[in-house]
Amino acid sequence: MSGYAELAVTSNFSFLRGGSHPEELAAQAKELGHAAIGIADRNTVAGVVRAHSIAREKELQFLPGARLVFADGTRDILAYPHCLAGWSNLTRLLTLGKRRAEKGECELYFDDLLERARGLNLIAVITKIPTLPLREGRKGAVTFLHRLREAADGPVRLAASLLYRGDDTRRLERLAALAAEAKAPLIAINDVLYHHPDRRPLQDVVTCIREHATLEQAGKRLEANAERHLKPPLEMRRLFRCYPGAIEETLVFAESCRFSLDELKPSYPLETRAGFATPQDALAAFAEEGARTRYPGGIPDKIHHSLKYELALVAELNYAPYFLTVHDIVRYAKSVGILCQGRGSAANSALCFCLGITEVDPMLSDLLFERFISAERNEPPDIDVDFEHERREEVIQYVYKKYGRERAALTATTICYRGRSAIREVGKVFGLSEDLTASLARTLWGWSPSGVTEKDAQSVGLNPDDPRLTQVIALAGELIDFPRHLSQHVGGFVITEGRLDDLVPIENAAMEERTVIEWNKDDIDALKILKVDLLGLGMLSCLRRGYAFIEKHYGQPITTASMPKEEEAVYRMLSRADSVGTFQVESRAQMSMLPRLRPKEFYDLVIEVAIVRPGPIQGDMVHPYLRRREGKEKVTYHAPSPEHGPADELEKVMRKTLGVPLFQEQAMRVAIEAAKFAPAEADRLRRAMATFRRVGTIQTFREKFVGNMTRRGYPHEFAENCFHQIEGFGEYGFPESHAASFALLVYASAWIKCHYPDVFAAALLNSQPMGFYAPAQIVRDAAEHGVEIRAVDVSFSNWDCTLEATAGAVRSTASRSPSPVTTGEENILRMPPLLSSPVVTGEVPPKWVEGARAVLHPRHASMRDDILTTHALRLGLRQISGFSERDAKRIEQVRGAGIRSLRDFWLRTQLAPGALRKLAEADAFGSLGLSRRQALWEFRALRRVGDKDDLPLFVGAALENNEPQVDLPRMKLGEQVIEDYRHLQLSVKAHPLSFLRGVFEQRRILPCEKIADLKTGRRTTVAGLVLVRQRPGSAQSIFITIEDETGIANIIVWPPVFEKYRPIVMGARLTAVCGKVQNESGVVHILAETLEDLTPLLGLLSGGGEIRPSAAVTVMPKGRNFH
Amino acid sequence: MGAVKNARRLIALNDAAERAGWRVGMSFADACAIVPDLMSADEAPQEDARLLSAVADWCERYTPLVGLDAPDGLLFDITGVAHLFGGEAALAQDLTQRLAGFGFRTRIGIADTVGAAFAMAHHGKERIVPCGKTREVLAPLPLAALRLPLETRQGLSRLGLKTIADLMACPRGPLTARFGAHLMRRLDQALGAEEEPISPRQPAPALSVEQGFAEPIFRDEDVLLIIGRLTERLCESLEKRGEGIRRIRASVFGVDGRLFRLDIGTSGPLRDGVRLHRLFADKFATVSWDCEFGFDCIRVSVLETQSVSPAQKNFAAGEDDGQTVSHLIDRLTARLGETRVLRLVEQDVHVPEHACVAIPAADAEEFSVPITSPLRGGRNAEAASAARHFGWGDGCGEAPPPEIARDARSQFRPPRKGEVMPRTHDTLAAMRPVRLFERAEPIEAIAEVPDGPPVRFKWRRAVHHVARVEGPERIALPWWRDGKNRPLTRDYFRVETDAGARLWLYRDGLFRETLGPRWFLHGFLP
Repeated sequence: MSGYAELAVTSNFSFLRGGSHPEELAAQAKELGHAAIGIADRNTVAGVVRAHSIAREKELQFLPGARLVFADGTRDILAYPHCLAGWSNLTRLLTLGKRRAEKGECELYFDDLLERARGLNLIAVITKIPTLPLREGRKGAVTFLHRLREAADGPVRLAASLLYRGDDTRRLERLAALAAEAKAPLIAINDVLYHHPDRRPLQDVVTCIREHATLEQAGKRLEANAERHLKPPLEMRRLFRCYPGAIEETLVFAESCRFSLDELKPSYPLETRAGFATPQDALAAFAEEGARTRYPGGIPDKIHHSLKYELALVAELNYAPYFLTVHDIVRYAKSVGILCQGRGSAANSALCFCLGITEVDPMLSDLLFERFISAERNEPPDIDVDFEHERREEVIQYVYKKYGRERAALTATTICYRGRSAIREVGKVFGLSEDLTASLARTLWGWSPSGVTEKDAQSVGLNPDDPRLTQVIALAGELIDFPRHLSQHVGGFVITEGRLDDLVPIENAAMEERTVIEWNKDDIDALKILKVDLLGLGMLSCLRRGYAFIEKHYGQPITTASMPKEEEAVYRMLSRADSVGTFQVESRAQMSMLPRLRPKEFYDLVIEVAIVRPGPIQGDMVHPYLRRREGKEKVTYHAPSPEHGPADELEKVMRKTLGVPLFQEQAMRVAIEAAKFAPAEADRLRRAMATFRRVGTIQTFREKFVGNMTRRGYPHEFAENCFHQIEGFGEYGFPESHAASFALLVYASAWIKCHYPDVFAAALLNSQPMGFYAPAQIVRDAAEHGVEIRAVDVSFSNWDCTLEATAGAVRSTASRSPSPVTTGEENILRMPPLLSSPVVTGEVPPKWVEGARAVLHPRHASMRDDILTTHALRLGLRQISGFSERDAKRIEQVRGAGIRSLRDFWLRTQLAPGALRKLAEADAFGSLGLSRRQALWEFRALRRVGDKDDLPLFVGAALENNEPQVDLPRMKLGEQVIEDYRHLQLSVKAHPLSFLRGVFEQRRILPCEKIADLKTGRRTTVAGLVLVRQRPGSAQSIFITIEDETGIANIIVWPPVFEKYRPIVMGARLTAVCGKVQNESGVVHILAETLEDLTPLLGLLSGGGEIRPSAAVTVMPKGRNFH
Repeated sequence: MGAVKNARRLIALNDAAERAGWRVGMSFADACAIVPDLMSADEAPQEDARLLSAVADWCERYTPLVGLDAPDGLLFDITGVAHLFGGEAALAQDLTQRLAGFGFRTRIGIADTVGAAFAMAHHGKERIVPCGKTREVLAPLPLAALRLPLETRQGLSRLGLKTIADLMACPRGPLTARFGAHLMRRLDQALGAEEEPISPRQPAPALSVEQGFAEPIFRDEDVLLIIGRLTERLCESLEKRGEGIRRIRASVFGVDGRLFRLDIGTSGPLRDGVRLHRLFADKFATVSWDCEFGFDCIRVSVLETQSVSPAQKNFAAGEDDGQTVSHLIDRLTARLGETRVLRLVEQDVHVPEHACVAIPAADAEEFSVPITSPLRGGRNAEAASAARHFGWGDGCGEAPPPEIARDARSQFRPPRKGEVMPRTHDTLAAMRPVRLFERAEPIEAIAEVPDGPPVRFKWRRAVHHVARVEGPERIALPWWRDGKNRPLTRDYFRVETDAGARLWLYRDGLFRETLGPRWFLHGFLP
């Protein structure tokens, strides 16, 4: 025999210890010609699946194992299972250690191993040989090895490695003697930490990160040399030339460890249902029953056929239990009133529709179910179910309860270093100052997967030639994608019939009541283990609230399923990009897409959802599609040369999307049809994008993909673009079925917004935080749609926003004449100028019911007949910054018939001073006739009289009567608005910029709404509060959304302008932008040329005696940054 | 910048930074997003305070009554002194100019009361409030001018009370009920309705004694004698406090206004007058003061103390050896200078020539005799003995690497009763020369490729044949020091020649790093 197998390998899944990815190690082992490789990370098997996949790909024997590190001082032991039972023992052992320790820790004792050592091949790693007194020391070691051998019921090996500390010869001799005495064969290892000697710097860096030390401080905690890399078998043989047996032993060992992860056959829960012989029977019956409910008029033929076909397929692959599981979870959620909806490869089938898992009616939409489970690929079905985000925990606990902690656990997510965290940590290790690394990190936007470049360093004023900086940047780049720790996946559940810890170790999650397995979703996928994704979706919470409001206030019970379909009004609204708050299509990118795409039917929404994604964008598919849709380009289909195949081979795939591949499965079909990939190969290509990025497999795929297509007569550019698109899908693949389920929610949310803007705004505000916009924009949007907004008030507001009856429906501006402004009380307010003045309606609202009888903004005039709103939106106490729900509930309980005074309110609610002050500052005592200042004045008296919060009643009463009258200065409206923003993040009184219009006019600054009338190329200046700054990953320019009292404007800042005006772009809260108008199909942008920081102008609003107006300036939101 | 509520915020800016758009109070992160490459430094409140007090010292030229108004203000009582400088305006002018010469920007307010002067300096437009006009001048100023706490100011501002005039217009009762008596007191102080004296600056509360002489003294012996006497007195009072001296200063004032200083630092808390006197004498011998007119005052001040736990005197003859060494170090240091008396400290690095560094012996926190044998006891002995019992409970040759020692600290057990503790020695130290060559000497060696030991080598023109050898010990030099050239890895061998010489030599560079590794001799082994 010749060769060698490395068996002591630590990957970077021994967090901050190993210096290489498992994939790299496996690939390198193959390269060097190792007979096998075993990966044994510190008390974990988290990295083995990755290595297993790559080893399978490269046909290298792979041994999954773990390095057991004990809490009681026992020597490290490498454990490799040689059979399935051994694997289960290992995973149970690790589970035991992890469940009794903190998250991420493992507390193992030698005795634990002795109980569960059967089926394991063990290697004891003894680097310190007892010297004095030699004989006794050795006796201890011999006993130790004997006990191990007894427990494992098989041979135990003694690891021999070269440490290069100068005494290797002596040490090995002693080890050999010990091995002989204990009858434990000596086995050679190199105790590998990285795959290549060049990784030593990175390994030192991670050691420093782990030890919280700089390189200079770390000293002997770093390795003394770079020897712990994978060495070629010949080199190992040379190094162990005195102990050839130890080398041979590695091969014997690998031969004896024939266990492969492919043997793991998770037993899915049987899911037997009472009254049915088999799960398949139960499933068929449930589907039948569901179909009858879905189609009360009789099951259409098409559905009948699909059902039959799908059921047969499910029966063939034996997936009935899986569908029953999902069915049961969905049924539970519905039974407790939690909205939910399925999506995923199998979700949009007739079967899932009939089972109630999804709402996409297969009759209505003509979806192809190509990605539905296929017999050929034998890929497990994948159903994601979205639940209301606030109530998902209930569902999760239901699953834990039903299957028990031994049988169900969440999958893990591997948290990796990203650009920013990498540069920060590496900078720290090199002893760079914190602001230096911070400024480097800041050149990256947020969660950037790419690292800092030397150019970035230069841009923040650092010398890119500084050798230390070069090292930092290079090492930070290498550190990116290194796993840092395991976290819980958002909701992927793995469920088994038997014990789950026979399959994979389970550990505690950071959250109470949660347990997590060690593998992430790619690992689960690779091993074909079934999982159910239970995800949280904010929009579902919003919809549930919306439906409840509609039923309560408009007497119309409604659900996503029962709402009128394909209403023209809804599509009309969306085509105008009037989509603030709706699901998915509310972002800037989507908003600029909507007027060009002009959705007219459900399938258009499906495309709309799918098109603004990394895949189509990177593949440059968006513009061709838009051009074709707008009729500017002829719909053609790329075809191969006639001798290579039928001309319509792609037309079949892409007819629905006008010859442009938009969905992930289309891209895959292109790979199969045009690039002639075998289906299984196409599948590997898809996976490769997510998992094998590091080992260069992609280049091979690219050559084959592009090569095949061009050879078959396709244009080279088209082939390249298709491949870019597949790359773009990467980990965030977006198949048509996902888009379809999402489109349904787009429609449902748009429908509510279209007809009941009051309901929509209230539901959205009550589900915050979610979505793209801040409450101020949501409220403003509702007001523009004719909803009367009423201020927060202790007499009327609940914790949540509520709806209050008003008289009459919305009218448009045209039908109304402005009525005089009521001026009696200064804090009666109006919404100038977009809403008309407050009027007293027939219902005779008391004078404190401030807020405006809103009217429809001319922009939305076309919706006059669609809007059915008859209620006003009463803002809830939740809008007050820092106010607690408990206090709000207390107010709801005790206010009863009415509140007489602040003192009365205080005595009844017993609120703490802080809470009272917040209410006063938020101007919530209007109904008591108290302005904000008066309320604060009264409040201060409450607090001051007694030393403590609970002053005796009579003292307060006495004081109240004897006080001289104090006239507080009145607050100007501008100041009121500022105060509103300070405490509520919005104001129903006015838009802050309405007070600055005079100043703007002097400076020839146009209102934002006016730019829509300008032609492309005109130069203009607008000004507004910065709402959002966005730099999409693929684009170089920055998109800014600004808002004034008339509307919003979208600004594009190209990189050169950005560099010049960086301080203003990033820092200004109020900015003026001068630039050229770009008007494309009704989507208007301004290409910024110059920017000016007008933030100090905000200071004018608070006016008065303040010399430094900065207080008012800092109240306005800073603008949110999206990536 | 400084930390405000866990966030790093800007607390002071220069003009350039302000022009660039930075503002006081901004978070550092926001500021950097605006202009990334401005220089910034962390705040140093103590430095600021020291600077302020130095300026205050200097200002005593105007009036003896200078008070501090931290963090950045000074209060002068110029009652009756303004005319010496040509009136209030001229004084202000003079002060502004002179301070500007030092690079300070000043705002000056002169008024009847401290409060009004503060208000003018911080918020007013004019400098000088004419007598009796305080009320009118203060009225339009913001409330911040009244030196009110932020909370009160904000509370008042929320109510719309923003200027001093607003406050004066309000009835006092309700205001006091809501904001406490402090508010009205501040107003009264500013308006002169309530007295507010300037409290002159307190000197730093250091222990200090001095003696002045009617006739100047000249002789060195006299100076030393007086210093000795004063030191004795200081030691007595320190004894009562249970403290010892770490730094002490003798200030000797010359009749011509010049000042001479002798600063002494000790390596441990000390309050032995005789020893201190000796230290002063040693130091005094190193200086030469040239003072024609003699000295008229000597002051000895304690600058830094450290508490001493009272120690039982040793009955046995001879003093505790630790003490003796420490006194020796003090004396040698005082005589030869700090950088001349050094001790070696072991470093936590792999590279042999950096394994020890020499630091001034006086800098050591406390001087402890290194543990030479485990039976001596002491701080490290416990850990060492614990480490020996790590594992199977029998003696191991080596201490565990630090990470294991840390992980397993809780599992250490004390030695069992009657158990014999084996003698240990640090194997690594035993394998290296006691003293390395200043510079490793190149040799020519013949060795097996790639990493075999030397067979024979030539050093200083003599050929040596290797009889016994052990190794290699492989040590890679730090890769991060020099970005461009990857440093080489050394293979150290312990070698015994046929002539019996024991040497430590190394091959510089592995074959995968360099084609022709060179050989060096680094030291003699014991």
